[in-house]
Amino acid sequence: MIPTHAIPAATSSMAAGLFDTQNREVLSLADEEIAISVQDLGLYYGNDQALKSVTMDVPARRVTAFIGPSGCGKSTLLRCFNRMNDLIDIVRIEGEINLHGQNIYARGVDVAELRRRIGMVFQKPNPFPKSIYENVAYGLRLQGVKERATLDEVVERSLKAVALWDEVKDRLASNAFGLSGGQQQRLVIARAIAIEPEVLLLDEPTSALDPISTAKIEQLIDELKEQYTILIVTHNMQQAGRVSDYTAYMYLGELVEYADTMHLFTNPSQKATEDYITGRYG
Amino acid sequence: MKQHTVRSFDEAMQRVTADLLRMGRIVQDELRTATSQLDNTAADDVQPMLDLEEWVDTLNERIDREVQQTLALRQPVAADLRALMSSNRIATEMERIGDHAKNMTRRAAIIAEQGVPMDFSRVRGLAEAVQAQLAAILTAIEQTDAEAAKIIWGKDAQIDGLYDEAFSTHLAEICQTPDNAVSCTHMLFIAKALERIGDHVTNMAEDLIYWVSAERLSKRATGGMASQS
Repeated sequence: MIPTHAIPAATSSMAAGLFDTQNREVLSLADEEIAISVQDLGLYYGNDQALKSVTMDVPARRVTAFIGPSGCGKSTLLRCFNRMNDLIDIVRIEGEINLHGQNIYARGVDVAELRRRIGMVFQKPNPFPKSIYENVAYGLRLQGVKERATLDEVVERSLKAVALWDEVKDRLASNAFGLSGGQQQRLVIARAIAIEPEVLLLDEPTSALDPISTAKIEQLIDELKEQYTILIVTHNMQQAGRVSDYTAYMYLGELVEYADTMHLFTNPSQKATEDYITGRYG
Repeated sequence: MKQHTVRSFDEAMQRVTADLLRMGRIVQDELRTATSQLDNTAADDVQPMLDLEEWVDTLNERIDREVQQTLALRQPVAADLRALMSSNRIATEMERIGDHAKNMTRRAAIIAEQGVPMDFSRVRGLAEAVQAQLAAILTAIEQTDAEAAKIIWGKDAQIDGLYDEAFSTHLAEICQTPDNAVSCTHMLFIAKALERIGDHVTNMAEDLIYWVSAERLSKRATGGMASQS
């Protein structure tokens, strides 16, 4: 902290506003509202253990990035947050994931409802073979919403939120497959947020996109975090640095380091993290 | 530290460090030359200093370019980022040391022109202490030794003490023998240049500590030793 009293009066006019801008403060989980709390999470594919006693708190309305080499368990962990791994027969899970204090792996949890609260976007854009409009309205229709006015409103709001509205408003009835890859990915995010989830899981959302579309998605992530808790898996470390508030480095199924992104990328605490992020891996 | 998976990344980093050390040795030569010319009638021979300065400028530019390219092309983080940023800053500090050394030579030449025999012992003592600090920081950089840098950092007060002594000695001399005022004034500026070189060495020590441990030491912020990491 610079002592403000040390500025001589003569320079005070020059110094006006000098302290209005500060370096970004280092974030601390202790100051955050916690959306998801992971306790001793273990996951096995048959006899192979893919996640080893992962314990972490995910802050609400922040972007948390997961990085690590292929096979480190980051995508597996991401899929645990909306129980996507339930679809794989040989998977066995131990430990807890608490969403606002409620264990999503507890008996009696409605998985469909859970997936409404926790939306997911994948590496490859996966619009449905339907019109742009119907893609966004899909979730609401599943919930039984029929009023045209409500649907119109949600479709417009969601497409505006992903900055796609201006590009598609005159062709809402066209098939979504006619959109570019970047537009399709934004459409898929619009589809995910149309049903107002609390959490968005992004699994390498830009790895199939060109740099311009990637920048648009990154800007979108920055805007969406005001409303949503976002977890992103990315192979692009610079992207993790650009978009996330917190970063988790995983290796061989373990959470090696989890910290404020700026801190992790400038002064990581673990040697293993340092070697990975500076390109000294393998 | 382990090597980068991409070897050319390592090579770029090594080029920066090698140029930095090369630059340090040349700056050391500049200071040594300036010191040896203090009470030398050959002090008006500035050519050796100009040659050294040209080298320093070339190396400084080369380091600047390599750092810029590496930042742009490889997006370094963590220790790599700190190493590059610190190297760039250290190079700037070295370049300034060179400027001060050249300044000393110029002023020594003027003193020689005056033809009045002067007592250089105070300034020489200060120069020796500063040379020792510079030699120590260069070794510390070569060995990326933050602990050594902290010791160097802590010794700046001694330099300041020697400077104060030289200053009061030559100031008193001006009062006592006004005829020597011109030479004594230049002597004061030589002492000041050496004191500034000491400050640049201290800054280099701070940069090296940040490079190695991400710890920021700053004397200026609080007037005392304070860690802000």
